[in-house]
Amino acid sequence: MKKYIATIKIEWQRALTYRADTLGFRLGNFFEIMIQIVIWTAIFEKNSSIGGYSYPEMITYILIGWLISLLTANFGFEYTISRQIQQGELSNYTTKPFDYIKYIIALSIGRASTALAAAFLMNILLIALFSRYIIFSHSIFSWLIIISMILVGYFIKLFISVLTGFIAFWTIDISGVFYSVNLFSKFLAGNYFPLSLLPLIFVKFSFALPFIYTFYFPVQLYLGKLSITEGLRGLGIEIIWLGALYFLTRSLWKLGLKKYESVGI
Amino acid sequence: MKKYFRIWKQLVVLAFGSYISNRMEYGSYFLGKIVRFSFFLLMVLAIFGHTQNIAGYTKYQVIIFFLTAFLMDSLGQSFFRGIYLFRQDVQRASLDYVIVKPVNTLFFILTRMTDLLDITLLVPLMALIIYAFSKLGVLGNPAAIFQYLLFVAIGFVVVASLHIISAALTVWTMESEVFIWFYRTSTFAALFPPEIFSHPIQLFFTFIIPIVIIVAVPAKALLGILTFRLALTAIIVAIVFFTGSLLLWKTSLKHYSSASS
Amino acid sequence: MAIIEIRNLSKTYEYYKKQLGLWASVRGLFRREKLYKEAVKEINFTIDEGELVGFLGPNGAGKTTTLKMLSGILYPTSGEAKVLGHIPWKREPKYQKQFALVMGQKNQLWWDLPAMESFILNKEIYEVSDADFKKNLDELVELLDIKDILDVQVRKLSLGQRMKCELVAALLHKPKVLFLDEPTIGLDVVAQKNIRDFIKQYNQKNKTTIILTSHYMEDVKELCKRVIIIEEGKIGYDGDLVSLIEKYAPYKVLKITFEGEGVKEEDVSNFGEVHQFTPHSITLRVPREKAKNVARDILSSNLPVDDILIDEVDISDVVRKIFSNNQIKK
Repeated sequence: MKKYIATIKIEWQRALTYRADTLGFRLGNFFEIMIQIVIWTAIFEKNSSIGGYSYPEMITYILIGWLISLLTANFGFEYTISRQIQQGELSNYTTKPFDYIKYIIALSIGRASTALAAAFLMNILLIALFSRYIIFSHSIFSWLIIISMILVGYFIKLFISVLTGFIAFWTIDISGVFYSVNLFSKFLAGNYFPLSLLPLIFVKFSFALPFIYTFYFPVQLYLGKLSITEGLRGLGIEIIWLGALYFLTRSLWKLGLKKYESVGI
Repeated sequence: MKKYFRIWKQLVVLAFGSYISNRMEYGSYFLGKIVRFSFFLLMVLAIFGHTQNIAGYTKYQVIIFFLTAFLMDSLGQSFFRGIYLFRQDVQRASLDYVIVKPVNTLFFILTRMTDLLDITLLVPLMALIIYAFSKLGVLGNPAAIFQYLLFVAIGFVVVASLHIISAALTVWTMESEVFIWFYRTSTFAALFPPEIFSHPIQLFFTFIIPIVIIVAVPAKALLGILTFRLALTAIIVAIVFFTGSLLLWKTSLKHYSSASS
Repeated sequence: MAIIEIRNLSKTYEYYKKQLGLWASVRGLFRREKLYKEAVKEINFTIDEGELVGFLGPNGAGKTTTLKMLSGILYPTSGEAKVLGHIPWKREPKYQKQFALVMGQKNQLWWDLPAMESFILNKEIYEVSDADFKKNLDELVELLDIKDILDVQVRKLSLGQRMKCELVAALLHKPKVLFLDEPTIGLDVVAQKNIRDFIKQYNQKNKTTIILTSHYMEDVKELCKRVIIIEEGKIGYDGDLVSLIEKYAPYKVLKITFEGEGVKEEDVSNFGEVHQFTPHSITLRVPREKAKNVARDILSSNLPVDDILIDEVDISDVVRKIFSNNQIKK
């Protein structure tokens, strides 16, 4: 256990060295969210309801949604994984008494926690700013489910990133795929706009994938657009996804490692 | 001058070769771009399924803003893609190799990787733009179209300046990702007419990250609502940004030559 | 005629002190210490046309910094330098067309394309005529024997082949001055020899002035009549290689391993100066001329020799010795 904690500590130090980076990304995020708020504010000027959302609901959607999204983010972990594979750094970890999967979980926690702390602060600031418009949910059960979803969601996103990163075992050209996967997952999670705005087939398609659980689904629950039972069912499905992704990660890891060692990087 | 054209030509050949040998990589980016475009277009259309206008603009007017934003983005990406790869080059010290050669360093790194796939995207984009033109009834109005093209060109100068600034920041701090991210995020804001923003924000987007100049000005010119004042502002901003970016570049290069190890 | 003239050239870098430990990193957010590193301290030398000079020294000694200044990549902190009558950091295209820089392990070639494509790019950049291009290319391809790999993707080439192509790319415009920064680093023995032979031939044929930095003694021995040794930013020696070796490294090193029960120190002490001793492996220092004979004697003696290696003294030992003797030889 201790060595994994040490891993986390090292990542904190790294983050402090790259503080301009961290600040920059936080500002960029802030920007992104503000722009969304501004655009929707303008759209709501002439309309009191769009796609079943009222203005306060939309603001809540954006802020709470992004909060959840940031809490589950791992900030480009697929790049870390792919780099370790391509630069041969993997050899460092397969020869040491580390469980690689446990190690990367610790690594991502270390890496994400600093960005997360900054992101959390920023989000709270935004929420304070817009407290006039935000709907505050009083349903304890919703909160509990949402928090569970966040926890599970973090690991889902992590495993998806790791799996994406694993393609480095088999090809050299990766960043294009990363870009597309990231974009795709963000859209399907509802990061850019509520999925209910889109035609039904898109919504159904999204529900077949795990991405919604890191934005759209929990926010819908929060806003009371989903019942507690539906929320629990969603959590259940999410946990099944987690299990599947974990299993897939372990399997692909074994396969990838075989390939890695056969090539002798 | 001819020399630079020949160098550019060979760089395009090299870029093409790179694209062919990295089919999957560039193919995926391309797909991602199409996904992005489609989803956002869907969003705009969906919004207009629920409302008749946004900030006073009708559907096709908003679409012109939307398409112009993507046009400028594509133009920037097509010709200045090299900037996005630049950071790795600096890290690998390939910048040194560029500096010692008898070629303008900035020119080289800007044009190093012409994005041929993005150029192909320009074709359907243009088609959609012309379609929007027809829906707006401006196809028979050469003056409007000319103004549109003129301000697209001016906007392009600003786009070039932003990329030069990014290059300068990379050389200086190795951290230009943030700047680029700001710019790319702003393109999301540029999809919509600037009137949806409050006045101070519009000023920000006119003078600090001038997406208004890049996107809104040509669109407004087409719709015939470009005020003389804004047109003049556009020209001045373009000049200021361009000269400023070149100055920043020169300074950062100097810094590199004094400090690099 | 002096091609390269350097006078009192200095270069100092500033940088920030790295913090160790978590708390120090946090402190580092608010206050950082600025430090200076004097990479090059007032060096002087002159190089004439056609010379092949070795620039030696341990890592961080200032070799690469000096080359970068001569290439115009870095501005000096003080002092002057002139190459072919030009001030390098002015970066005049006229000057740039007359020299070339090659850095080992750093590529200028396009990674995922055949080297030929990068050659054509350089042709356009250096404004080499079609006729000259063909002539120079053929000559270089012949000398380096790389005809078959010209249309193979650079990333698929071996390190040695890549280096050869890098050299071609650099020499297509027939530069009068060539700066080679560790060109053989990371290459296998055969590739190293190929590169060395090529440099020698090219220099002899074209009278190109070449500065070569390396920390491989072999490179230097093969190629350079004159060496400049630089350590910690200062020039420790500038002169004949032969004199250098004779004066500062008059001996060779014999590393011998023994099998079976090994040997006793008395058994070996009269073959040469015993530098390191264990019963199964020793290091002897033997005067250069005697090295072969001593080796033969040991092998033909009844000592249980398992393996024997005749080696050069490490260049850093030589450099250290120079500085401890504190001599600057002309």
